[in-house]
Amino acid sequence: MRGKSWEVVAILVLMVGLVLTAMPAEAQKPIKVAMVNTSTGGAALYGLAGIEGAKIAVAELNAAGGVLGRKVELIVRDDAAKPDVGAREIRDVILRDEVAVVFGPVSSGVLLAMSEVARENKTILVAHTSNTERAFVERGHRYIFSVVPHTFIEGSAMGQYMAQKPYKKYMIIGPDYEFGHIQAEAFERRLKENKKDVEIIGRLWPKLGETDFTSYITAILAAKPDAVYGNLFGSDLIAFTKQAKGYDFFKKFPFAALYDVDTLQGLGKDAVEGVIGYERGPFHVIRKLAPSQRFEGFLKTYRTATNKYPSTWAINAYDAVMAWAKAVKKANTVDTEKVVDALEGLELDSLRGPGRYIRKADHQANVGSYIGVVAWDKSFPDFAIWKDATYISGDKVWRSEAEVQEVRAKAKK
Amino acid sequence: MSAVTWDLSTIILLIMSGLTRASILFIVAAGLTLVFGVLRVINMAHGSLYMVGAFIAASVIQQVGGAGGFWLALVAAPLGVALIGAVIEFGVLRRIYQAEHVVQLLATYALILIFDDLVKMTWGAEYKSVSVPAAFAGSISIGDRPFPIYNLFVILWALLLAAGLWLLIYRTGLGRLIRAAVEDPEMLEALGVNIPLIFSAVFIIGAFLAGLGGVLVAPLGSIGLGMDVTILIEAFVVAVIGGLGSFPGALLGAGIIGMMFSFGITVAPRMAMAFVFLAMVIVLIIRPWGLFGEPER
Repeated sequence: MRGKSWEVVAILVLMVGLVLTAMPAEAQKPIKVAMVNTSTGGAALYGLAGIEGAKIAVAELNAAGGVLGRKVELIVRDDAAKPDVGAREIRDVILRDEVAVVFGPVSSGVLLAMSEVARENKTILVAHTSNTERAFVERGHRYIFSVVPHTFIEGSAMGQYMAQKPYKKYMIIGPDYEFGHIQAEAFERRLKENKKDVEIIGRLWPKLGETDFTSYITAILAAKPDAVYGNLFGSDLIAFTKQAKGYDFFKKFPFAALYDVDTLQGLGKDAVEGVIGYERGPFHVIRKLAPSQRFEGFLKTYRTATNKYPSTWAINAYDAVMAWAKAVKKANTVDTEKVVDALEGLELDSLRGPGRYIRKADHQANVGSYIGVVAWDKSFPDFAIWKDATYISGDKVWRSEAEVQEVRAKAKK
Repeated sequence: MSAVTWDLSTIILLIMSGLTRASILFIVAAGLTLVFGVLRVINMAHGSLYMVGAFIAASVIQQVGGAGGFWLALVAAPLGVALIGAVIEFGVLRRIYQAEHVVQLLATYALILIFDDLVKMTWGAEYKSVSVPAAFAGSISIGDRPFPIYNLFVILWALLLAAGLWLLIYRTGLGRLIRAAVEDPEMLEALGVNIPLIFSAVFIIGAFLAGLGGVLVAPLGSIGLGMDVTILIEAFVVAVIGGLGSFPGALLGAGIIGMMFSFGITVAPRMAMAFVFLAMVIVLIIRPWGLFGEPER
């Protein structure tokens, strides 16, 4: 008996081995693509959603026969939200796995580091979460693309929106790093352009990941502005909101901040109705402003896979993968230089709706910012969403091509 | 910075908000400093225990709900974390007390990574949030300014804890043994005292304090990955300023850092963090062993 079963196992192994070796010989080699994103630490929530969005996109591509008849294989790496780790991982997937394109990361600091490696190695890098404008304008290059509204678009859109309001004395509170400062500058510039009598009476920069905002709240209470603009987000914004409530802050000041789906879900019953939120792709607004079968299908797939609603990070990562795939089909090759040419000016098949394209000058898609007022809705009993939502398209508020060249020339000096 | 009116109520408000921050910092730093004082180990995973405490509190409050949920969490989370502390002490630390400091640092650093993954596997990467318990919702007026009642509760709790710890260390048998273990562990062992047991007890108390900090902070902020490292750095600064191993030091250090934050942010917001590290540097230059610490023997 023992001898028999050994034989059976041996034969089985041989058969499986045969099947495995036979398959790649028949089909063409898969196209390897990589996502280098954050899956550990404080920013893991965004990175994991992005990975899920990319997986769904790749699964859809493969179900439709792949790209150029080849299967797409997604390699996922963790950048731990650290620039050096991100640079190491992207170099590794480029040199060892010879990937055709890289998607990622969450942090702008990591993006800048990864971007240098992508340029050196002439590999396409598509940003879908990290969004510092510097990566695409001052330090832009042939191989970096963005399908997420960058800091300038986001800040400008908020400046334009708030300029319609009657407030004159503003205070700004934002996280003390690349993203916070650049976005606040863009906000201030557009706000002052559109409304001459505005004054910024104070700027507060808590460190990223701050947990105790009482001192900042006290400082705002003492300064008595007409309104407060905060580009706080995530856990910082949750902590700020809960603590500010205790000081009757929201009864005193109109407040605008990155109240995205993640943050509102985190806040739960502690969400404050009436504050202004903005973000890059809330599912509950997209399905109203640009309803489509495709988006509902994505929602359903995402819900089935994760039992969650997709955050903007999942939606944008999906868009990034699809943008690359469309460019490959258009170029009819995975050759990097030809795909770059195809990406420049490409009309996106974005989940967020039609009319989105990648501008050649800075490789930035004209994707915009969604802005709304936080409110409860019967269809979502567990977390607040928005009402009165609007969309400000990227090409309404971004720098002109001439200014992009100007900024670049200045940066070179 | 602009028009801050320095009236009395502003100053009181700043002191109170500084005290709130100081309270959480004291509770967490007290555990860190206690463990160092006796075990001579900088427990890098102390922040992770605090994070786990907050997550346990969130789960308990979500399951039980209502005011009862918060009170239950206030008991259950520190005890749960203390239990985890016992496992760590027994499974890891006990084996490396004789090892070099670098080895101890590496081992407890590894625990940070392990807890990051464990928390992600157990609770997921989403933010958790706990509302302020209804009994402490709302605010009182200081002059014409509101101040959250829950913050008062946190301050009160920290004061009670400080008193309780003082009683424990200076007025109980266990406290006497702990102080003796700090002074001369060899002699204590020669006298037949079970030193490993004392070490375990101290580490468990330290973990309990981290867990307690986690519960108390839960209604104030957001619970998520990454909160471990933030608190670790601040608690470490507090402990170093006060003198590693010293309770009164942790109390004073937390008070100093809390005030530096609340006043620093109001006067020069960009410099607040720098002030904190500056304070640490100054203390280290003048008294390298901290305000209440003692020079290494």
